[in-house]
Amino acid sequence: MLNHKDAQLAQLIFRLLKQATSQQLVKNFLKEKNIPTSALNWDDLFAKRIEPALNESKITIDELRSLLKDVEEFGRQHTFLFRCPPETAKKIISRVRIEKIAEEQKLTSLLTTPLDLELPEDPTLVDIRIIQPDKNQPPTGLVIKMVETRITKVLLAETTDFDAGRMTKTYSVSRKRAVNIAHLDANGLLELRIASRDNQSRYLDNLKALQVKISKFIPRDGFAPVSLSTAKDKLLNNRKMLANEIRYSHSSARNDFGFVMNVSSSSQEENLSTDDGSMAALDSFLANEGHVTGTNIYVKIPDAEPQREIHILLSGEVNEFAVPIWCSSGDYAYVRGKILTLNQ
Amino acid sequence: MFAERFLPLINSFPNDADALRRVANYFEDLENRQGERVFKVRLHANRLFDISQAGSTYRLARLIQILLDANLLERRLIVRSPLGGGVEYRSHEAIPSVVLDPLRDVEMDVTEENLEASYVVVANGSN
Amino acid sequence: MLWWLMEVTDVVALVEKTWKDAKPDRRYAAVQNLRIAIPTEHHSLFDCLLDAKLTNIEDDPTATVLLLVHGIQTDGAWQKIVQEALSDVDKLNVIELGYDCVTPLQLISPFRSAPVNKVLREIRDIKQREPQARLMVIAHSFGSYIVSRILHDHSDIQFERIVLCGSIVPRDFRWDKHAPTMKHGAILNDIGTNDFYPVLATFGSFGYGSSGRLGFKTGRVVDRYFPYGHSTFFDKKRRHIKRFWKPFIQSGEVKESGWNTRKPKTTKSILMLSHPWIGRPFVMAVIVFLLWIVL
Repeated sequence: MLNHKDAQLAQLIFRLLKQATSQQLVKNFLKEKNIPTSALNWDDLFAKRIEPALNESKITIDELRSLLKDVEEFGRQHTFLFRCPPETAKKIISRVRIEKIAEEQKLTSLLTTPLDLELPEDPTLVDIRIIQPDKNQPPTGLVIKMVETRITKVLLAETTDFDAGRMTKTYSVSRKRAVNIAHLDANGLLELRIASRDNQSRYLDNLKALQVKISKFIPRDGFAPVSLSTAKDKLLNNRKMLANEIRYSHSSARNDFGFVMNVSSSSQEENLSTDDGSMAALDSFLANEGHVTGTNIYVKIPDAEPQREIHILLSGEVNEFAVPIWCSSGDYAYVRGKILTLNQ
Repeated sequence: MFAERFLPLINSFPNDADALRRVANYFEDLENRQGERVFKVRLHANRLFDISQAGSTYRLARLIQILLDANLLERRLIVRSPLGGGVEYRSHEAIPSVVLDPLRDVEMDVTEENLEASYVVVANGSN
Repeated sequence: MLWWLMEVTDVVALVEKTWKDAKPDRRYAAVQNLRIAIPTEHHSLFDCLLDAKLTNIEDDPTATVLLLVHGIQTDGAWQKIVQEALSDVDKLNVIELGYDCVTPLQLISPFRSAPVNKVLREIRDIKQREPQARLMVIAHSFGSYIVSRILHDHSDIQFERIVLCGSIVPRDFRWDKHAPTMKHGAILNDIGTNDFYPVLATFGSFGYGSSGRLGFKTGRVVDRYFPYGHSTFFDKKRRHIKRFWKPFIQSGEVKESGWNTRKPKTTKSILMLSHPWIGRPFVMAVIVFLLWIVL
């Protein structure tokens, strides 16, 4: 039987799961544990299936937390890639160093147990994970998770007072939890994944805020942005070769004479590369001092039943790509690997 | 050749010579491929940063200053419409805070998000 | 700060701070408004800085600034040779640091701080303007002394890689203390086994050493020997810069010199003259003796 504290924690994690993912995904998790999944709605799912399972120790709080980690740390993010020399990365992620800094920052508890926060007042580090599959070998990575509260507003009403010469707009304001991740691999690749915003397309300020927050653990100095220009060019130049793996919905290019070209498919379901006219125009543009500045693609996940695609935006900053939808950690790792391979 | 106009600058500004040389090489290659079209070049500031391998915003600014002062390039500031085109100005002082988007016929605030700096080549004389 | 006394570095810092502190959608307007506060002579640079800020470019931490510090009685004509030889190295920008001609008389006098302070000021300026850049230095002859004084007196100045040639830095210079962040292989001391100037500097004055002839022989510095005189490093025919300095600047690769194992044994006279407590008193004694004979 769960104690009061754990019961509250379970409710909190469940609320976060509700915000982060779909019922189906949670049901899939319960199915794997041989727990019945039928429920009328979310609250029913918790009351009839999850809470009893927790009380009977068929699932644990840690397993729920692990599910939350999987669903909220991948997808609906803009990723910025940086690189440092592998020797530098290995020094940064050394267990002794991280534990020392965590102690200095009074964050030692995060190394063992994440902080379960719903809507923190200020951006807060909630989890520090040293990835070390083999305890006899040095760590292979470091993951730091930062949670912040974002305010979103929706226009409700607008009134105009002509006598006073004034217009008043009324917005409903809601608070939303946003999860940002820093992942430094021992090979020197640093990913900073910023949760997508509803109403803006530039993320530099969010990126800088994350960099400042994690700077004691992962310093800013010494990391160079990984330009994805090669990947963008190859995606278009090698599209015939990639036809079975990638579908295109939009491309933008610019040339050294100041001209800009944007080409889009008629809908997100169509494949731009099947339109010979558009592709010929783009090829001609690129052949005349042009270079690709952005591209929207759908990457097919191999061996997926049913067939699954992950939408990727390669635009914005030179080292930026975005996954605008939720996806699993496995799917994210696949698309990131694809982009990095194309970028070589 | 347009690229030859860089030589005096490379000699006069030794501490910026590397960046200047890279830009000169770029123009020389372009002129070999495109001929007179080199005088139609319009380089975005980001592109100039990549070509020159300036390495820092200060060094990029310094490079731009040298090229503008030497009348090799002229500044063109564009308030970019979401539809791709934009409104052009020749100086920061001339830019208003709000601009009419000619492609959509709506007003748009001028901010760092829709403002771009680019440079056009000055042919013999001016553009 | 009095606005009319603003220097370039002040303008750069002001633009940077204003951009950073302003709200995202107000940045451009905030910096535009600064123009009134900037002296007219800096308006051109100011506009260019504003252009650069619009690009949202971050300074590249892999970009390298290579400083060249020359020796006495020269304006560093060799610096152009080095710049040309390294012109195809990616992301490298070379800066020549100069100072007023230092005569041999000044060299042996205790009044040497003016060139040191000038070079120090320039380095600080560069660090302020390009804080992310990797700083490396090639220093020849008196330039090596300047670099050693800067490292000695200003622990905030550090370099990623150092090349010394014709060095007159004392052989017992504490690289471990004054360049603590630099590991083995990051400091090269290229030695000309026919170079007499470091020996001359040692016995001719105080505060110099013969590291440019005998090496430092310390774990922190890689001594490499060549059959050269004081400035043969810059002889285009030898291609020393392309063969030995370019790989080092580009990737830290230290190419071995074949002369290391073939160099002749150093003569006793050179060894004695190079010793500060033997050479100097001996030469002074000879001078006094000669004067006594003449007088």
